[in-house]
Amino acid sequence: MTGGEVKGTVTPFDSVYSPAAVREAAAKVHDSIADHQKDLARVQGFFSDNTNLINLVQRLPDELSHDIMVPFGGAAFFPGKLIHTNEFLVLLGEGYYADRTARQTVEILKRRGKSLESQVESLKAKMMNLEAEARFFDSTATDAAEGLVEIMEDYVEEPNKCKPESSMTPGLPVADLEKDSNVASISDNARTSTADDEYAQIMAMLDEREKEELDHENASDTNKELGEFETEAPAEDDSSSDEEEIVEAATRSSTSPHSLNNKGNEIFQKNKLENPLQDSNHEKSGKPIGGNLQQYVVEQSQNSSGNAGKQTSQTGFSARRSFTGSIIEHDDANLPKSSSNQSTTSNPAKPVSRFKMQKGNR
Amino acid sequence: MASATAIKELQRDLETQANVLSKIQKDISKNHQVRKQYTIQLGENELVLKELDLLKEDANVYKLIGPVLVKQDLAEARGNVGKRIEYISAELKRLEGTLQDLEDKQNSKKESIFKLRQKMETIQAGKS
Repeated sequence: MTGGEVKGTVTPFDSVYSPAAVREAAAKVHDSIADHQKDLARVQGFFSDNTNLINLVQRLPDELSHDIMVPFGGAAFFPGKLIHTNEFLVLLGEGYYADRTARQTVEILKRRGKSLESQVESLKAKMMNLEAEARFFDSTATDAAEGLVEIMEDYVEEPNKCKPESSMTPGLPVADLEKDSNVASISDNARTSTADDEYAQIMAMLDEREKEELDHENASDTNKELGEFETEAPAEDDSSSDEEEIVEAATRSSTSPHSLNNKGNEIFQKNKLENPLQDSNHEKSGKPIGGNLQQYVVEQSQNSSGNAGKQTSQTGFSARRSFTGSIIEHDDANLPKSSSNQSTTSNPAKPVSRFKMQKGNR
Repeated sequence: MASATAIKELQRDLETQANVLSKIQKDISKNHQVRKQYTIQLGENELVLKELDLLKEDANVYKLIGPVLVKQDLAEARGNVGKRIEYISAELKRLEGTLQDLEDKQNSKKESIFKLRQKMETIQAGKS
């Protein structure tokens, strides 16, 4: 990681869960699953035998005697009769037999069937657990093989720095995520992971939008500048602007002051994307617009970039906005709205002077 | 050199310890098997006792002794099965105790082997 101080540790998944060991464990779990399946099949066989026996025992007392072929020795039969059709010598277990009638035998068999069923249930439950384990091992093995890296960093509040921290991104080198901005430490891995995903998406969307806007409004220099302008992210969570809305607004060369507010927010948000670690509290919707840019710029430099943690909410909701490219004059009355919160800014990657939007410049 | 002989001795010790450890592990696995067997038997005997209790007093009960089916008294049969159940449960408890001992021994052996290995490594590192 480059940029400011790097705190924390990078632990590749490989070291924590070595892929070979994980695969071994997965293989073992698969084996035990196979064993349990065999047992399950066996017990189910017993159960079906039991049901057949119950049916037979129920049918036998229908006749006084049955004509059958009696097995004799290993390979011979002779015709005979089955008598005393209601008397059964039932094996109770452990070498104990009992004389029972057909009905009592059926009851005994039914009880045995119930115990078999419960065995089947427990086996099935065990197998489900094992399968869940196996799935986990497989996924960990593939993750580790892909070079997934777990990055833990301490959360440190640094006033003058902000930089998007990397998060768990499979295969992505950490440095890729820190291209634009200053370093700030991210305390929350989970948040940064979502933030980074959204960040990547947002950057892609921003690029598209920029292209669109450039096409639409070549006349306006400020478009570019706005795009490049890194402002504090107005982190208000109003979801008033959609990207479509923004695009529409962008296509409209002149925008009413009414829409300005939204756009201002959006503009800021787009810029905010480049500084992911903006403080979500900042609202600068009206500031740059209408010529208070200088003031805004000053403020921006004064502000320290926050901690990346808030970036998540910002990136999340800035994803909905895009840089409209249309700058609308805003009078000072709108400013107070935006300046309500403390601002965190990242040191703008692009020089502030590029921002040429001034009052009446539209 | 003294260190070479020391290393040889350590290696011998390591081997003996490893043998002892493998024996302990074999004992543990045997214990597991016997315990499984006993558990199954216990379950079956409990089933038999349940069925015997459901029988009417005048029902005929036979026991298979070798190739012979011998008529048994119901009360006697119940008593026998009950005693067998008690015997099996006692055996199971004893086996569990033995298993615990074996596991403890195994752990301690593992630790001693580990320490021996470490000693060997330091000596070898020191030599080289």
